[in-house]
Amino acid sequence: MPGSRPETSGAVGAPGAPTPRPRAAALLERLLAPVDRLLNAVYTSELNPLYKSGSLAVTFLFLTLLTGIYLFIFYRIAEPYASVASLDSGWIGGWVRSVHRYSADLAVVAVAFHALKMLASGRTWGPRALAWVTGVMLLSALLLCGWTGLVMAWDVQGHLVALEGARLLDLLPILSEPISRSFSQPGGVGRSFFFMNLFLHVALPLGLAALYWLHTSRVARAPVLPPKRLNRGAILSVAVVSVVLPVPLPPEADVLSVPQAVPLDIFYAFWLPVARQAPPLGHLAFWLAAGALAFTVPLWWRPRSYEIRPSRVREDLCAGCGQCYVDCPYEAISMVPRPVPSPLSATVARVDPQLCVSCGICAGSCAPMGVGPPERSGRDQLEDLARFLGGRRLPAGGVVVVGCGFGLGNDTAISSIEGVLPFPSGCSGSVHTSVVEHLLAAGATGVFLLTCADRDCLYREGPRWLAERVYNDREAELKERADKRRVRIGSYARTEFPAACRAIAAFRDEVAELKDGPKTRPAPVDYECEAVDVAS
Amino acid sequence: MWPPDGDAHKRLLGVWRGIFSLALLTVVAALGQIPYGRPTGEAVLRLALRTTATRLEICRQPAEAELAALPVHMRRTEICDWVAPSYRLRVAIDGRGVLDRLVEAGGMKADRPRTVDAQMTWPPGTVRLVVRYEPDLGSTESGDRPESTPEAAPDPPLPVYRLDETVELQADRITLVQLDDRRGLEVYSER
Repeated sequence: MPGSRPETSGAVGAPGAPTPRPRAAALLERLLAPVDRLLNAVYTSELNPLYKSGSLAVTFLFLTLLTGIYLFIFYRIAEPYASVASLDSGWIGGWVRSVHRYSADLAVVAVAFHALKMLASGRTWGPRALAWVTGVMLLSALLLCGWTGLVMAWDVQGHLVALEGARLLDLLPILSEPISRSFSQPGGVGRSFFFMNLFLHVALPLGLAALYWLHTSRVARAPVLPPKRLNRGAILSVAVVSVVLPVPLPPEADVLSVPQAVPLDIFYAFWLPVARQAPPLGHLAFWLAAGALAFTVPLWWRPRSYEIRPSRVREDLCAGCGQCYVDCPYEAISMVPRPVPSPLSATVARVDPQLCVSCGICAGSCAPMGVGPPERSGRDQLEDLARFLGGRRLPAGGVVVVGCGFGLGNDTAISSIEGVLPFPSGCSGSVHTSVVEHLLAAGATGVFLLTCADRDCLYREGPRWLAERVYNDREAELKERADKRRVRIGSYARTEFPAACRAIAAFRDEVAELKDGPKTRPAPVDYECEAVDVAS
Repeated sequence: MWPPDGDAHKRLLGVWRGIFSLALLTVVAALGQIPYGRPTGEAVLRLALRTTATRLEICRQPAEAELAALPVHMRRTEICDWVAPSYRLRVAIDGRGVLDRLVEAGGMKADRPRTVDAQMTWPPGTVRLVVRYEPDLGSTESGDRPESTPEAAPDPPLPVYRLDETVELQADRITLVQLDDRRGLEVYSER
C-alpha cells in the first residue's frame, strides 16, 4: 500500500485539481508558514491566533470600546493634553489608557493577519467579495478611528498626525479654507477642532458596528469572539503588559515647534514617514493607490482556471428536512414550497447560485444524497469511491486516510506511511458518511478523516459538521452499523504534517489491535437514499 | 522528573504560552512607540494668512455702439461688474525674495476668504523679514465676466498689508506670520 497513488475522478481534492485561489496565494501561504508553524507549536492549531484573527480583532475592539468609555468620562476638549496627563498621573487612569492603546494596536495587527489569511486562502472573490470589500472598509474606519484617537491626546505624535492629515485633506476640493490653518493659531488649537475630533472618534465605532454586520452578513453563525481560553488569554496578556509597560505620554504639542523625535505608533501612523518625505500630492497618490489596490482585490486576486459550480438540488430526492439549509455556512440555501406538489415534502431546498461557494457541505448533510455541487454529491462520492476501490477489497491491516483536498489531504507524502492509503476528498465537511461506511465494508481496518484545523477550514465549518455527523448523530449521521472505533477524525493545519502522520500511524496501530472485524456491509445506495425525516 | 506527567505538562505548557504571549505583546508595545524623526537644526517660517472675501464693484461707461447692440430695456448708462480682487504675496528674508505668489479668493464663485498656508525652512539667526501682501488688480478676474477690464480704481481702496521686521529665527522652532483683517500682519515665535 505505501507509495500507491489514489485513483480519483479529478474532482476537487484530487492532486493537481484546480483550487479556488490564485497561484500567488500559495506563495503568500509559504511566506506565512513560519508564523503559522511557530504559533501552532506554541498554541496548537486549536488555539492558533492566526486562525482566529478575525474574532480576536473583535475582542480587542471590545476592549478598546470598554476602556474608551472610561477615558471619555475624564477627557476635556478645552484641555486635551492636560486631561490626558491628569489621567496618566493616576495608576488606574494610566493603566486604562495603556489597555486602550495596546488593544487598539492589536486590533490592527489582528485585522492585518486576518486579511493575509484570506488572501492566502483565496477567500476574496465571488460570493466572498462583499466580505472582502466591507473588510477593507472596516480597516479604513478602524485606522480613521485610531488617527482621531492619536490626535485626541494632543501630544507631539498627535500633532504630527493632525498636521499631515490636514495637509492631505486640504488637497480635496471640499473645504473652503485649509484645515492646516487650524494648527497655526499662536494661542493653540481651538475647542471646535477637538470637539469635531472627539465626535469622530466616538461616532466611527458606530460605523464599525454597521460595517461588521455587513461583513458577516453572508456567513452563517459568524463567530463573534474567539474560543474562551484564547479570549481570556488575550485580555489577560494585554492587562499584564499594560501594567509592566504602560504607554508613555509624549510631550505636549506646541504649534510653534517643529514636531520631531516622535514616538511613532507604527500600526496607525505607519504612513507618517511617507507623508513627511513626499509632497502632498504624492501622499494623496499613495492612499488612492493603496485604496484602489485593496478594494479591487476581488477582481484580480482570483484563480484563472477555477469556476464556482453552485450546488444543485434534485427535487425528486429532497425530503425537505432542511438539514442542508441549516448546515450551509454561507446561507446560500433556503427552503421554498415545492413548485410541483410531492408526497416527499411540502418544501424543497433551493440554492442561490450568487451565494453558493461550492463547498459541498450540503452534500455531506443530505441523507438522501439529493443536493451538492455537480459531480460532488453523495452519490458522486460513492461513484468516485467505487472507481478508487476498483472492485477490490482493501488489504487487511490497511487504513484509508480521507483527507481534505484543501489541507493535508493532498499531501502525497501521506502514502509513504506504511499501511496507509490516501483518498483525497473535497472539503471534509462535504464527505458523506456513507463513504466512510463503504470503506469499512470494503475491508479497511480503519478510516482516518484528516480535516483542516477548526476555524482554518476554507469553508468555515467542514470539520465541525463532519465531527457532528460521525460522533453526534447529526444528519446525515454515520450509521450505527459502522464500527465507530475504526473511524477517527484528526484536525491538523497544513504546517502540522508531522503531527498528523504520527496520529495516523498511531491510529493504524490501534485499529490493528481491535479483535472483531468491520461490521456488515452497508445498505445499497438506493436504500441509503430513502427520504429521511430529521424532524422526527 | 522529566518528561513531566500529564497535569504538570499542561501547567508547563500554560506557562510557556503565557510567556510567549507576553513576549509577543511586548514586541507589539515596542512597535507602537518607535522613535521617529530627529532635530534638523533649521528654523521654520510659516505664513498663515487669511483675509475675508472682498468683492469689488467696477463700473464703466459703455460705448454708444455697445449700447445700440443691446435691447432697449437693457441699455444703462453705467455697467458694473463684481470682481474678487487677487492679492500678491511677496516675502523676502535679508533682502532675498523667497516667495512670490498670487493669492486668489477661494471657492468656486471666488466668494470665499483668501488664505495662504505656506512654510519654508531657513538657517537660524536674526534676519530682516519683509512681507508684502497687496492687491494685484492686473491679475484680478471676474467670476462672471472674465472679459471685463477694470477701468477705475476701487473706492474705498483695498487694504494693503506690509511687514518689515527684524526677527529671531530659532532652531527647530516655527516663526509664524499671521494676518488679521484688523491688526494686519503679525509675527509670533512664542505661544
